[in-house]
Amino acid sequence: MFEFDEETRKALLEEFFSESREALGRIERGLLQLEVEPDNRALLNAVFRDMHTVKGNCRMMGFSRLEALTHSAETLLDQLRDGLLAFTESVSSVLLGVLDSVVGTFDNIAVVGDEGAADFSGQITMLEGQFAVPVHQMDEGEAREELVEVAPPGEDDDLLMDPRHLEPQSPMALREDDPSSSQPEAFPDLSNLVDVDAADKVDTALQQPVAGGGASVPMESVRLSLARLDALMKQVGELGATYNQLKYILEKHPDEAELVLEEHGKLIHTLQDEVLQYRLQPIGTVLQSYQRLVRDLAITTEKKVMLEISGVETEVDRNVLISIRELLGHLVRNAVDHGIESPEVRIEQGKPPVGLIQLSAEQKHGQIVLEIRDDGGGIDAGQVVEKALQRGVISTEQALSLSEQERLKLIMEPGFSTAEEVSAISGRGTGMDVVQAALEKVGGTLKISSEVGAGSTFRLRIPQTMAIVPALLVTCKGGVYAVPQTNIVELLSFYDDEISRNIEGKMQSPMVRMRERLITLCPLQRILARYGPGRSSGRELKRIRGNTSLHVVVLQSEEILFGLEVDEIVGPANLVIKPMDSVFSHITILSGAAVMPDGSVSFLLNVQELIDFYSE
Amino acid sequence: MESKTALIVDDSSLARMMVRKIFATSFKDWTLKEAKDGQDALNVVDGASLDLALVDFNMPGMNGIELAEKLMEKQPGLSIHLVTANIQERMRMRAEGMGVGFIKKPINPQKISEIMSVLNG
Repeated sequence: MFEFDEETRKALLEEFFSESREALGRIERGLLQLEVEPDNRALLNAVFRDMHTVKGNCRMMGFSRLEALTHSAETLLDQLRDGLLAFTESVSSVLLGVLDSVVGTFDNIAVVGDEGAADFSGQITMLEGQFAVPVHQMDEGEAREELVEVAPPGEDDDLLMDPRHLEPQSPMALREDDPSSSQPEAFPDLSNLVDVDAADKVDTALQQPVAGGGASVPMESVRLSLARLDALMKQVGELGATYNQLKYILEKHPDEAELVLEEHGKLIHTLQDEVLQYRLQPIGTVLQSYQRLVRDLAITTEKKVMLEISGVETEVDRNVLISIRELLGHLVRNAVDHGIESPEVRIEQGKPPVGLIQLSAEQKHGQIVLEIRDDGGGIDAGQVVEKALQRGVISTEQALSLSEQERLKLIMEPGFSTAEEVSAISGRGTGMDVVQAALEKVGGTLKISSEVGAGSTFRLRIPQTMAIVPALLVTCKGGVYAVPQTNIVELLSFYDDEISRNIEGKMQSPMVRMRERLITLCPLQRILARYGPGRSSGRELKRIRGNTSLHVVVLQSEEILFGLEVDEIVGPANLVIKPMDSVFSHITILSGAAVMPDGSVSFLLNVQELIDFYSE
Repeated sequence: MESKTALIVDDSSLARMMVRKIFATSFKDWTLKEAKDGQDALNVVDGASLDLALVDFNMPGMNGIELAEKLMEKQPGLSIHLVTANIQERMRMRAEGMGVGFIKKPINPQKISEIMSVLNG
């Protein structure tokens, strides 16, 4: 401690006693109350904060032994707060014991003037014995405060580009005696590596506080507990058994094959679900990596920027995660560079000097919605069009027919940003067009909204997984199409006379009755022919009325309900979806393709795009 | 030399006292204002012109970064420093992005004097 004169030191010591004793009293009452209501979070937080104060006070006064003891107690409370541990009587007893020691030492200090040779190592060991996570992996409470709201820690360095950061280095890897973490060279191909590790703990590992950086989360390898691996093996074994059964029964009693076949199908389904679970990973690590990006950019551009992150726990397929890392980074960069104004300009406009970028992730109807919102200068659609014309991105006729959304989206076109701008913006030699391309690759869509002077929002929707999609197969004009189950509300079928009673022509589009309400009826064949509702309502009505059946898939995207008219409803199927080849990437209403049992190809419809297309 | 004003925001009364003593001993030409939490600090800032703010991170109500942001709105030119024991890398970046500095706990006259020399220079 800094040396004050005797009188000052005495005054400080008095203050130390008075404040710390008060806090210790509150901690004691709090712990006793927690024994009655262990789930009282507010109380737990208050107890934690008081322990934090006591620790800080001990440090200020130079009582390092007391500091070490209260630090351990604080760590334990922090783990309780995080739900890593349950508040049990034994936890409570250890903490109450700490209080007694601290108070006893205080009394001693009051007489002798210092803490002397008090030895708390026994108690510290007892505290550590209660820890859910070994102490060296814990961060201090001070920093943890931050994590509670913004979540799991990631890599401190730029995660975006450097593949070296993709090696598994989670704290679990260090804790469990894992060969891959101690000798990564032994496994040259990490992408094919399945680490035998605590997979059940993958999620907790990600959300755990990790000491000041240095721990990254594996992106290209999956950590699996031996128990989980055994369970998978068992399922595969059962599959093998039913396969043999199937072979036998087909030979001997072919008429009874159906039962075994069904069992076989069920097993495959369970296995699919299980494997899919391992592919999902919280998006937090990726989002958190932009904190550094924003900080660096803010400094180079001499702006003040605050990045707020929410929805870190949202789970996304690893493959999707890997492909969106970079494109999200571009959007964040763009927000700092083009969105947020300099502090001087902001103050002039009556805004706070610190610009705000909000990055959020959310799961909605089986899709992931990502939003990058800034409170910067916004995008002037008129200026965008002008620039696009100058740069030859669009022709004059095209410019006239663009909707507001299309005008804003011009910034994503190749050729919109010039080379000089690009290097200044991203420093990576690419413009916003790569965002569009990367997005299309994962079957995602982008919406831009912006208000000049108030800021812009980039809203991305991406599929949660690219692997297996539960879908409904329908036909239209001889082709088979798949509609993602997540978008389907219900199915309606009308026959003969019912048809006329349940459809109506309204405004520009036919409408179909769904119980008490009328919803827009959009014929799939019209969309496939690239026609909007247009002036066709009358003709479409006539055609539909002339049929003997009408099949409607009621779809929902965002808040819109919408009927899709199809020729036939075939039935549900779990499809292994392959992304569309880049040659077809401009056909945004299709988000992928799947090979059907008979060898033909069906296309997965992108419901949001269908609705957008038909409503524009 | 014109008198300057600093603000210490900390929920620990001992911590505030410590800073008060340091200022009384080593920076006699400074006026020190005190606040026990974020809201208190915002009240103090109203109507006072500050040169330096030393802000604890872990406080009830708003934390140090949230307070720093609000202080900046009120006094854009104010030099703000977070006083923390363990600076977590991400927290540091977040604050640096906003133009906020750091002092590692425990606070002492030398650390304060370093910040002041930057202020004056």
